Amino acid sequence: MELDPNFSRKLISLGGKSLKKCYQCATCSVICPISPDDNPFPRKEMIWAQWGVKDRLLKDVDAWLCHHCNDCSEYCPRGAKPGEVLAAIRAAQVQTYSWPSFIPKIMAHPASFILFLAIPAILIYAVLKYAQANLGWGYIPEGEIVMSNFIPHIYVELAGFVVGGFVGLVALISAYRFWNAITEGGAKVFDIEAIDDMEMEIKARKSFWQAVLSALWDIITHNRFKDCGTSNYRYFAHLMMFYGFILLGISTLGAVVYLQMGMELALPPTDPVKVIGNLGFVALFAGTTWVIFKRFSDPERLGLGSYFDWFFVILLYLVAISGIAIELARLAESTTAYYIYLIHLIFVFSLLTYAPYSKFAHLLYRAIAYVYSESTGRKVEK
Amino acid sequence: MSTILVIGGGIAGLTAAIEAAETGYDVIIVEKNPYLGGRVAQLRKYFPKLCPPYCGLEIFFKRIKSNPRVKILTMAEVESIEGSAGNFDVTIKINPRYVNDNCTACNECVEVCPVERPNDFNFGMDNTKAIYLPHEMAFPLKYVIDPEYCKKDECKACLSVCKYKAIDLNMEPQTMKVNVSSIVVATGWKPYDASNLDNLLPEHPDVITNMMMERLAAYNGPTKGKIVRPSDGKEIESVAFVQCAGSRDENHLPYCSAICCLATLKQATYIREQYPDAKVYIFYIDIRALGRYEDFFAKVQKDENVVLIKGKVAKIEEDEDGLIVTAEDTATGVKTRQKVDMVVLATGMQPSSSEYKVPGIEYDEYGFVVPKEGIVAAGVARKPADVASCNEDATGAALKAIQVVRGR
Repeated sequence: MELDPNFSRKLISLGGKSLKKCYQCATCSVICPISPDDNPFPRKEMIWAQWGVKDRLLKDVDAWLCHHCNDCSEYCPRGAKPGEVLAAIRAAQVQTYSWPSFIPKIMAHPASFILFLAIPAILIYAVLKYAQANLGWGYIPEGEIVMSNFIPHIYVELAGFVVGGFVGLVALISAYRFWNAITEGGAKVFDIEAIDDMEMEIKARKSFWQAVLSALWDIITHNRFKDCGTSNYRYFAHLMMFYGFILLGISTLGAVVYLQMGMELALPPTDPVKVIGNLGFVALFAGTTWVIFKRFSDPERLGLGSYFDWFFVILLYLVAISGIAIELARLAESTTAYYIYLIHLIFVFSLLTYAPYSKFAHLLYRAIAYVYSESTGRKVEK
Repeated sequence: MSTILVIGGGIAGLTAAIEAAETGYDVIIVEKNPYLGGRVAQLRKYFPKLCPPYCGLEIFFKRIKSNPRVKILTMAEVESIEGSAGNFDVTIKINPRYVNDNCTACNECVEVCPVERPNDFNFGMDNTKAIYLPHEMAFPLKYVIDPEYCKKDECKACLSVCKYKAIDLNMEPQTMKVNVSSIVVATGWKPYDASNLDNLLPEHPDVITNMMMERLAAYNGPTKGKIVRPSDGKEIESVAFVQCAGSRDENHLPYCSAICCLATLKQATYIREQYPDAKVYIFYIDIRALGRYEDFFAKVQKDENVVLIKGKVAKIEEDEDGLIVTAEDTATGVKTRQKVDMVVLATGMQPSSSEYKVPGIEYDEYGFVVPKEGIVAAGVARKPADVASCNEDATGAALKAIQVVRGR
């Protein structure tokens, strides 16, 4: 077992500030409503974090079974805040398994936020200048506010495919690395139980696809989240953000279909695609606002969150706000809509492109962790 | 002008008082309860020799009785302290006992008294009448009436049976002023309020505190010393002890209460002596048996029926005919669920100032006394400690108090 004190320091910088206060009483493991009986978390993670047991922490799938309820932190007699330490471990895993590795290294510094916003801004500026010179679009149009008069949708779609392709590739690499790390030594497939008369019962664990289905069900219903005590609000807030996102996704798909059908995209507010989009926005905006408000209202109990965390939350919020601002400006028939649109594009580009390196990646890691935990039976039986 | 005031008549206050008196100084003991002896009087056995508390307390009382320099005021509280070292003006309020010195403790009054009150000496595990003797060995040996429960003029049943004219239902509070040179604050402690430990099922009758266990095991306790399950009187087959219940915990008492580990090991022997087959499970963070107490720990550890599990209990649940305590055994990394008949919460020591502050005394953030010129703290009013350490501490406090009287 190798110990790396620098990894301890890294976890502290990623938000696990109080990890050294832990005195291993194991209150956390018992108070946690979603920790399994065998090798429960987060007590073991706390001592690994203190000693800098890097390889175990990076292979620790349990970090993703934690939903940051903060019940552990609430009852921790030392104020060691295991909930935040586990969040820091998750952040460290995201930074470790994503590719190329220099991106998360730069992103770890809060000052780089400007840089990461500047990249899409410069790209979009360059594209606009090029289009104005060579393609004849990219000027602020006059008359009715129609985005495709400013930038034809086909180009936005194209950019979307490029970004999506890149994100998909990085996500695949991350997922592959993460899955290999956590399944090292093989996933347990059988349960052997002794019963009477020297007999044994051998029960096969769920198959991979069964596990995927159960995991999906847990994700759709937020089943595991529900048992949270202290931060119970997060179950509802996350549910809103989650479904808000899905609705926005559906509405984006609808828009693509409309485009393929050759329809104009300055949709009236009554169009079903627009309705779904607006509903999605409301859910996402309300959920995010709730999260931000809660964090500031009781930072001692609920945790203010680390920069890693905020990078995602802020981008999400900016996307939501700028998105609705375009719609409002368009309804007010103001040409500011075009400028807001540009800003919105910057935020959307950032949110998606940096997803594999930011907290956004949790949807990938947590889903994999769910599948793994389902297939190995590492779950609290109810 | 050469008197020492001792606030608190527990083991520390008594020690300080008698040491100072026997050195030749006048002492006034102010005790809030109707009896002396404090928390020690409630114990079944106490360290270091594990004798019953009256072994030691009786000797103190004899020394006090034969020393004219000690003046005892029970049911008394300090109302104000003014002045400075060498010259404190102290106002003392003496609450009415409703029973005077004629009392011979014949018990006739109790037999006719129609009203009951929860017995605070036994932490409410049984009742006394509204007129009662605080406990069998109480000193001074005088009955007392609880005005909260006594119906006074409506009843007067006791008045008619008392042959000694010892009962006076019209007794009023009195105030007296004394001038003292120095003050020893030995106001002691109270068990930390277990009802704050919301994850440990504190309201359940079979979840008791370690001080309640002392009363259960004591011969003058609610069960005459037989340890049984409080809810139904069942004999004990298994007990879980929950260490650090509210101690070393920023949400409760942030400090180590110093005595709970040894108290639990001692109480494990109470159970094992009464029940040869009973199992005792002790859940701990680490066992703090310091100095010579290590031997006692080793002795208890040898008992095969005493199981020590490293991991703090964080959940207690009611189960069919018993309780289930859950802890992560940190040695194996497995959550253990142990079913037991009853649970003892090893609650810690909270300085008495948490509910009653002596006016004119300064306290730190936890409620321990901050000493200043002429005011000395002794015993648990100063820091959590066992009986033997309190005695030593109080002897030192007596010396400090004498130095003020004599001038250094």
